[in-house]
Amino acid sequence: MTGRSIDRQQRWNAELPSSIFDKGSLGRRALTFPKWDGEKITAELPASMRRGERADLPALSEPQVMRHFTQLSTLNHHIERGMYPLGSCTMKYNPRLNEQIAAMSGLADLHPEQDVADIQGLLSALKTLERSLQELTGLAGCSLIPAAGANGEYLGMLTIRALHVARGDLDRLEILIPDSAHGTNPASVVIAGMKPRTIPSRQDGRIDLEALREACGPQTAGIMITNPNTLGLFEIDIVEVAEIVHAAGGRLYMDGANMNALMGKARPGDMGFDVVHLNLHKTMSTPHGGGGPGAGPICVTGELAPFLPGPWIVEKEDGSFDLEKIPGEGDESIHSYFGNVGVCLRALAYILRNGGNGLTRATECAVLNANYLLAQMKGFLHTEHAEGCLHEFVASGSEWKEKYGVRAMDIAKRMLDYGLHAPTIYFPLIVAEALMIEPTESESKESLDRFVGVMERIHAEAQENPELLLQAPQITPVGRMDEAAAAREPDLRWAGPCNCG
Amino acid sequence: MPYVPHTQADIAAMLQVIGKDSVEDLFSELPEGVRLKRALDLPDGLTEEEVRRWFQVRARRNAGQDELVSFLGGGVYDSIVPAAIDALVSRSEFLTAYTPYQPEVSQGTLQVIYEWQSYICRLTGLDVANASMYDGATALAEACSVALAVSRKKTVVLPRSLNPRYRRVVATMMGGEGITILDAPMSADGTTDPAALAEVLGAADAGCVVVQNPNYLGLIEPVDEISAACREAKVPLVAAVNPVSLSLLKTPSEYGAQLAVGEAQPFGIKPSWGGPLLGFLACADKYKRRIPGRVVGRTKDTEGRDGYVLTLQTREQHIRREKATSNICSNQGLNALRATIYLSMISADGMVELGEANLTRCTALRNRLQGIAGVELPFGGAVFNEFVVRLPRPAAEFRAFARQRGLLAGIPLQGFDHCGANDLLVAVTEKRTAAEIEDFGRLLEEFVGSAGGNR
Amino acid sequence: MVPDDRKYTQEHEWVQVDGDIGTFGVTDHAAGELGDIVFVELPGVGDEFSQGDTVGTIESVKAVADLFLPVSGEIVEINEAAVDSPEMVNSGPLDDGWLVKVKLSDPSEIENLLDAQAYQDLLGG
Repeated sequence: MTGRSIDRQQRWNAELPSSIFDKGSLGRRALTFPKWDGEKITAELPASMRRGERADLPALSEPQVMRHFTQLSTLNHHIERGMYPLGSCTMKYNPRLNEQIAAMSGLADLHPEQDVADIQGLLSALKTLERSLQELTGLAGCSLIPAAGANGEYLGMLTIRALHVARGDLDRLEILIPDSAHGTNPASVVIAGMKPRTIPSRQDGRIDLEALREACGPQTAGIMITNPNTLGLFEIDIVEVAEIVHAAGGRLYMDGANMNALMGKARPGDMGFDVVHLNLHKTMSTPHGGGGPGAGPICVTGELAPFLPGPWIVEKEDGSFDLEKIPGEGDESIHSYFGNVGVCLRALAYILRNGGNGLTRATECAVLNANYLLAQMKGFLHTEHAEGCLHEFVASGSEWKEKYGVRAMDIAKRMLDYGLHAPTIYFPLIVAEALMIEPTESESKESLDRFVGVMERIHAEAQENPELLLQAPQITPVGRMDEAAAAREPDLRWAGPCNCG
Repeated sequence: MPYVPHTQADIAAMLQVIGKDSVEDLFSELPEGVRLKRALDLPDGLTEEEVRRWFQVRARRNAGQDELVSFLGGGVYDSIVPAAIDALVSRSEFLTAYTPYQPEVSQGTLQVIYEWQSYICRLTGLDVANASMYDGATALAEACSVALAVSRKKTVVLPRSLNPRYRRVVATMMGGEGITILDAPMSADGTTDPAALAEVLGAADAGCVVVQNPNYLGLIEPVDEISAACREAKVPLVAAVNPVSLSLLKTPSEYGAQLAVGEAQPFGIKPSWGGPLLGFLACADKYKRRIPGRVVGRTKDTEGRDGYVLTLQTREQHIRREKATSNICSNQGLNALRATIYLSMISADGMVELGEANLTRCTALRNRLQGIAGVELPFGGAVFNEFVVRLPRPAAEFRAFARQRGLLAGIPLQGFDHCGANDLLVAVTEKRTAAEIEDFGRLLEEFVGSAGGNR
Repeated sequence: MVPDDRKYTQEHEWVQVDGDIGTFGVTDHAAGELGDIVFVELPGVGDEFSQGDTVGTIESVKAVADLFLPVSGEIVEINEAAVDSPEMVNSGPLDDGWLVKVKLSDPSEIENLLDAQAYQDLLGG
């Protein structure tokens, strides 16, 4: 590679823009408001209520604002630039149609305090989404309210707790969580007022039935399982797990982060799960937006459905829709209104566009893609998947670390130099130097072939010139950042004045 | 299958490399007993045009704020959305990027978040802000958790003048952790009674006090007196604020709040029936290692270039697991981008103008309604862009009456302290014209004068 | 690597006793495992703790460890320099990077801690 001699900004074709706070000049303005066209009004606030100084904001023209944010945008990797093989994140293509739907007049402009008569079409759409998710998961009830996967976990825990409380089972507070779980799971359990209890998982991250039997008892409120698990493996003993937990009086929660492996193939409800959350920003193609907003609806059994917080959307006999169980003081509520409705509409557009057959096909091709990569990569990168995988697989960079002195982090950073995003690294924690790869169904065979080619090349570089990995990335707008300095002396806001330009 | 590129030939070639005979064989690890042995009972896929039409038919059965003249508020407002925002947010570089875990290829998203944090600090006067929360209500609950974690207490004091939706979410999220919630009573003037608050604080070992300013009824709270009562009792104050009002009103930092939260939807975000919204959370420096959610910091790369990273990550659930104070993993990234663009367009002058525009219009409607016989303004205190009007008949009736004339009149307040069935919460934003405000007045006159109007 | 002038714990912490004052810190091994230490949170002077109590945390960029005080007593001094410059804990965990000094309320507790040899064995020789 001669790339190191070439200026990185030239290679990426992007300049690092200065701060917006450095660009203003007094007197400029990009946003103006309609003048008051009525009689002159004297509207004075008492001085004691007024802020002392005006908020110091940059003064810019609209073209300057456009240029600033457009320049910033060019520094990002994104789906339409290149592959995003982040394990457990399901970075599939985000159809533009979804965006058009969510922005429609008659949907985007609805105020949450409007009468149900004014939102009949919206309620009809949301009900269709609820029913679609119920069919997909094999469960009888649904709440679209959770604003993210973690919020869905929280609501799922509240719902399970409410069931136990209603049955007078006040001491059932323990939720079992395999040690391979994502950190959000135990955090969600705690804020819902329950107690996480870690159970050891087997080498492959699957549940250890003996350990499970031992842990279950009258204190067991439920179990939280990611399926396929964080190693991308299906819980093959799931029916037995369900029997054990149900026999002990607990309920089963499925973290549906990996639902892209299962659509049309197997349903959580049929496996014995009582609650599942779906990440619409993963499986249902809604955009990640650099971190959100997402949506994490939950589906539940008929037994748990009465414990879902309102408002509930109900279809009446005449085909109209209404809201029931509108929360009042003292009722549980996890969001001001109805969660991330705009995200739900995008997901519904995706479901309607694909249909049942298309969703199944998406899962099939996602699993095909992952296996295709696995088959070609296991020759040079150690994986735990002798039997193939579902929609993603976990490789370990331990061997490369020993032989060539490069870590998973270095492999990931070198991938950035080839225009690929890095896989998820150092997760799951139970695999050393983990690299978790999920191609999704959006990638074509050509794109996967290129990926394998790049990985082979990086493997060759690791053997011949590991410095290329250790010094990577080279062509990105910035190099590796000093994260320790950032955390020691946090600089979290622009402190200087604006409009000095 | 528009979004999946695989041809039959591709699939055959790939299966050959994998060494399987069929796609079905790839699912062999799924136990027989749990396999779905039928097709999903969902309709077949539609074309793009058919999907568009499916939604258009439904959107037409709705009537939103584009079509109707809206005086609805209560936390979400009918505000101006500049065209530049939609254009920039639709760029795939922002839209389709993941959480910026690889800073080298995410500087755009990271710098936007840093600028958003900076704006929130400038508006609130506080030292630190996070990358955003789901909405104002969850932000408030999280801020209370932070205050309690630092004060190591188990009691929160919520004002009766707080948005009831916020109250419910806080009560729910505090419920799991065994937190006691006490009320700070509201006076007959519709604001928190500082003396009563001091009494509550004297009798309880509170870990934080919340004030909402302006409060749910639109009234400006006696924040200095409330803050003094908190200082006296050495209890941190958490302020829930409408950020638009910070154009004119005293900042949380100026009245001594340690944490501030709110709903930034009015900064360029369509309401979408209440979500996705944009909660923000800011705090004094000493709380920075306790706040939930993502935080971006500025630092240098290996070659000394300025750049940005996610920082203070040890606060977060993926590291602290069950010891984390919050389980939040995401932020409302795209909406934070919208607000950041909005705040980059407005300028200091424009911000004041926005505040004056709200205040003027709100005052104009208040003045207009004051003159109508049988109509009262039950609370006389200063307001910003929202107020309560007391009608001679149920507010719900007027709401239905106005709706028939194309006007969304407000939110009935039945059940709220010192309010009854005849009370209506009315919001007036920068979008309302003098003619629309006059229409509201005429409609109310007509309603009051109509048959059922005589008491 | 493991000086024998102090005692150790399973949690990779050390205590050095001088009279009735114990100086407490983390070991080389702990500092190395955490990586670049970015933040140290310590208790207040005058706070009293029992053996095994959590007295603070020590954080690197992507990990956090609780500090368990291996002896009972009252905090008489904290290392302000380490709070201001957490990297000191990386550069000298056994000397300049000490964390707190405790007035021991039960000096006999020291006897139950690991000696240098036992700690060396714990580290695997």
